[in-house]
Amino acid sequence: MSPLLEQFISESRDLLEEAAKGLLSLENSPNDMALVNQVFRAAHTIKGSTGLFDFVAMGRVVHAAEDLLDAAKAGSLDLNSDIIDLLLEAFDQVGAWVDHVELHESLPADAMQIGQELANKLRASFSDKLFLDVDDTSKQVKDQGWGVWETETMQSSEQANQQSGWGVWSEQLKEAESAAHLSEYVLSALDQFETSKLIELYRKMRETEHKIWLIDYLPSEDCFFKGEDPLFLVKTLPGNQTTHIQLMSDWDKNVADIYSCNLRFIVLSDADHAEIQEHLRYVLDQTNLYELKSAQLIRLKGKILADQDMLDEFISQAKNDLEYCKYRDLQNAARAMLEITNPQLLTSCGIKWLDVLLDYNVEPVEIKALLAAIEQQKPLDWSLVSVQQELSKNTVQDLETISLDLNLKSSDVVTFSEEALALIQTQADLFNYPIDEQLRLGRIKSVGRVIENILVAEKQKSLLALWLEHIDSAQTSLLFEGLKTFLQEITQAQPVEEVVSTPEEFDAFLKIQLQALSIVGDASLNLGRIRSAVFVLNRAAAHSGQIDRLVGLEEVEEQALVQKSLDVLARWIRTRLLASPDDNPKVDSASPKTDNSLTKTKNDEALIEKQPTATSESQNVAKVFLKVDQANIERLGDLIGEMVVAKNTLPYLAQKAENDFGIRELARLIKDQFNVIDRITQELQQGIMQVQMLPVSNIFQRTPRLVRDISRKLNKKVHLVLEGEETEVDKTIIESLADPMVHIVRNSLDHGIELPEVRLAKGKPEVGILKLKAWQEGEGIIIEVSDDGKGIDPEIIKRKAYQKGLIDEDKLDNISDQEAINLIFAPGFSTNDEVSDLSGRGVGMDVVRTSIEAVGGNIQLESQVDKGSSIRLSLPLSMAISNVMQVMINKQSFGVPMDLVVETHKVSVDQVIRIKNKETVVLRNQIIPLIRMRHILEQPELENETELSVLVVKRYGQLNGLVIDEFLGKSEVILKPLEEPLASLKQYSGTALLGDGSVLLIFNLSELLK
Amino acid sequence: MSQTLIKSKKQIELVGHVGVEDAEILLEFLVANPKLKVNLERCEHFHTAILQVLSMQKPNIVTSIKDPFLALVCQDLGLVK
Repeated sequence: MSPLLEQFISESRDLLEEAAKGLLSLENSPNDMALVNQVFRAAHTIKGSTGLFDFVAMGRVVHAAEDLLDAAKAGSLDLNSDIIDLLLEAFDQVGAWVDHVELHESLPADAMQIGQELANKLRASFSDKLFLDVDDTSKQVKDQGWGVWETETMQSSEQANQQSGWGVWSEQLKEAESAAHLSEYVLSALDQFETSKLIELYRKMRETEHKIWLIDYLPSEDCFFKGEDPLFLVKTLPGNQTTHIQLMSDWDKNVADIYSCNLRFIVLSDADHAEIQEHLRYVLDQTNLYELKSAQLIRLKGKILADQDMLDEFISQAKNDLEYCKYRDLQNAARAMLEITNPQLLTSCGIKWLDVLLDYNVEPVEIKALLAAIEQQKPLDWSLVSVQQELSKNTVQDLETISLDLNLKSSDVVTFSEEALALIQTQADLFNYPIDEQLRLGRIKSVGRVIENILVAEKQKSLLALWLEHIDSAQTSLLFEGLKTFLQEITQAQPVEEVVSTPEEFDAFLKIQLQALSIVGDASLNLGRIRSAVFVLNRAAAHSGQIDRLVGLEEVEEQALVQKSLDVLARWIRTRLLASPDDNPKVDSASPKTDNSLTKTKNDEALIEKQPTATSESQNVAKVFLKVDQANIERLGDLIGEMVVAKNTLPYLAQKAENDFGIRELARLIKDQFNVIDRITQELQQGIMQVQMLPVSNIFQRTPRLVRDISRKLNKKVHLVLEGEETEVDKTIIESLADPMVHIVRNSLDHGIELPEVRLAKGKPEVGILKLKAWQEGEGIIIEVSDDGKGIDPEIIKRKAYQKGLIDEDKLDNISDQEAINLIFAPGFSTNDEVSDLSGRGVGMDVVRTSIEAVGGNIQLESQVDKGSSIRLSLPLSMAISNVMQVMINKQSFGVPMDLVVETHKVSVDQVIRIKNKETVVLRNQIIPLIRMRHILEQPELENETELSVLVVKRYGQLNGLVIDEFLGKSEVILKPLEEPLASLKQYSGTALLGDGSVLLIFNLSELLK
Repeated sequence: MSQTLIKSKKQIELVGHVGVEDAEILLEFLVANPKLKVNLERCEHFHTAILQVLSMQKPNIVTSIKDPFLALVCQDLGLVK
């Protein structure tokens, strides 16, 4: 299972739990919007994640739940118990699916049906009360992939079929779609039918939309005892065109039992598939049904002609006619030939077919195959026709639909269809593989034939002649070179751009090249292989706009040529692959870090790893990894935390020894010992922290897919750059970052990067750049998400905020641009009026900020109009240990997170200036509003104070002075979140146990200073 | 003698819909007298088991077969020329 999926499972479970908890509380207080929001957010996040894995059914259910909750938020729906039941049911179902996903990595087969029912139920519960957002639902249909739904229903109905014995049927149907799967046995049964009948059916297929079905019915031996009469069933089969009956075994008159069915029926029918199925519904387990392609009806049978002279003459003339597209002449010749040929001969049968085929727009390759069969007096060689089938890709039953515009196609301009080009290239590639001397002729012949067919199909007459010449000379010289050059030349005229046009395709192309280079071959061919690889690389790069990724190729080519080593080139290509734009450009091929990247499949990794890398010797040192249950690590962490607290009691003990017991010496000894234990615990702390560190690639790896999907949906072109994926940070922080990152990235794509047209109009490159960068800075890490989009216009933000009542008129005039931009973090702010399912659904930046702050981080936004925006998340490396400033307020100590503290001051009362009823103080030329903590905490104010203790803190870029009683100093604590029932006290972010056993409450300043 | 199998000295005629129950009787006739001719002129359909008897015993089938499907089947199995 991919780490991403694992994460999805564990996250979804948490979210589901949160949702369920919220729903249960909602039952008691249905009007609590915070609770509705909580559940809504859970549904919203799950919905987002389901998109990553194509869990359509799950997405549909949570989407419906989300919409329902949206309605509740808007106040148009009362969350009564029935609806809560329904929501719980929905979330339970999602939970069950998550369990299933954990075991099978996919949803159960019936998920689509259940999901749709649930979603319908959910929607029904509010749609009558609320307008149905038509756009939204139709969008959902599109987004969530009707297509997928259809295939899934197909699958599930198939499953149902399997149970009732229809499975074989549908499976065969699927198989019948490819000619290769129709067994020769069945096809040869066609030989039993009259050629005239087959021709009649062939014409029917060509001229009408009729499909011809071949029914292979083998009744069970005891069918007579079940009251079945197979013969009657076949006789009355709808559309029965003709029937062939075979004896399964010859009758042995002594032992034969006439009541044991010994027959097999092959029937051709032109009826509807459904009709046939319905008719055979009781014997479907004994039946196979194939859809025949028109070409499969062409069966050559009959006696072999001994004297071939006349035939040879006809054939050579026919080939000539064919080459010059003289179809009329060919048909006339065929008819004349037919009159003088014994109708019992195979050649007669073949010429009959030739006559028929020439009535229709059949691809020349098919006629050629037929001529070859007539010439050799053998059944039709299907491999020739299958070339044709590959050429026209959608040939399932399309041989007849290929339109043939002779005039248009027979020009001499060298243009090949995409498929033909691919085929030629594959064939040319065959010459790159070494081969035994004896087999060379065979290879030349086989390639010769395939190319010949392609050229015929592509109507490249002049090339064909040239090619045949080349083949002739190659057959005597047994050299590949000439042929190879020829193929290279004819394909050079054709741009590779159809094949490689996007960075992803270029990556795939690199991998193919890598694969080709990894084939060990005759060293003498190396030079050619290097040159041709370099050649195609350059071309592909040019067409996919990736030329910058091939910087340095020339030197590498030279080096490879000098050393005659494919490895040199292969190694270099590998580094290009690893340095693909989706990966971290800093990481070179020797680093295994990028292995997490989503952009590579396991196979690719295997391919890359299989190559011995000269620079990676250090990697070969075997590392032993231990898989440990996360819970064990956490328990260890907790114990170490307790150890820290216990350690901190030693200074108190020393103090006590000195003060209370007067043993100074002991106090000193205790202090010495404390230092030793302190050092060890610090190392322990660092160790456990290290263990719980994960690279941020865990978050980054979600983005490539996200960016791809969203940019496609929005028709935007985005180039994603990831940097510093290897930067490590505490696991809990990684976990808490997942959702905010998705939001930020979505915001950037949705609101930041403009449409390609707009970008071009602004004079920017068409492709926008989204950059995710992580690095360590001091005690924490910084994650920066930047784009070069349209940025945030402070004016728009101001107006919006004013309209939404977030700022008053006064502020509207005075607010600075940066402050205005920061308003997007304000709760209830969303600039986009439209509700899209990408971003701006009320789960706004305020939520992002809250969750970043919850882990002790902060978020900064910089933006310039039309230059882009950049969001910077500063996060602590670890949440385990926090530094707090201890302060005393009315004889009780509290903690203030150290990272918010700017400075401490003692201010005389005289310095306090009142501005508009508010106390302020001027420090370093800055006006700092004072906040009396005693007042906030509703404690009696101190009287007759002459000096104030002011703790200056910075919050969202604003300085505040907290007036407290006394500073106590800094201490390291293990922060524990408040537990129920105290969790509702938002003013505190948690508690910590102090060395002396007392409990320290840590302020949550964001809440406190609201 | 059922109404669907009418036996005369030299031939046995199959009439209308000939069911599975007649197969054994037909077989007995044909085994007892391999030269017995079979007349299918008035036959509209015979059960698969009858076809098996015919294909096993390969009797001489006289007169044309009116029912095109039966005619095709008999021809396919080489029972008539």
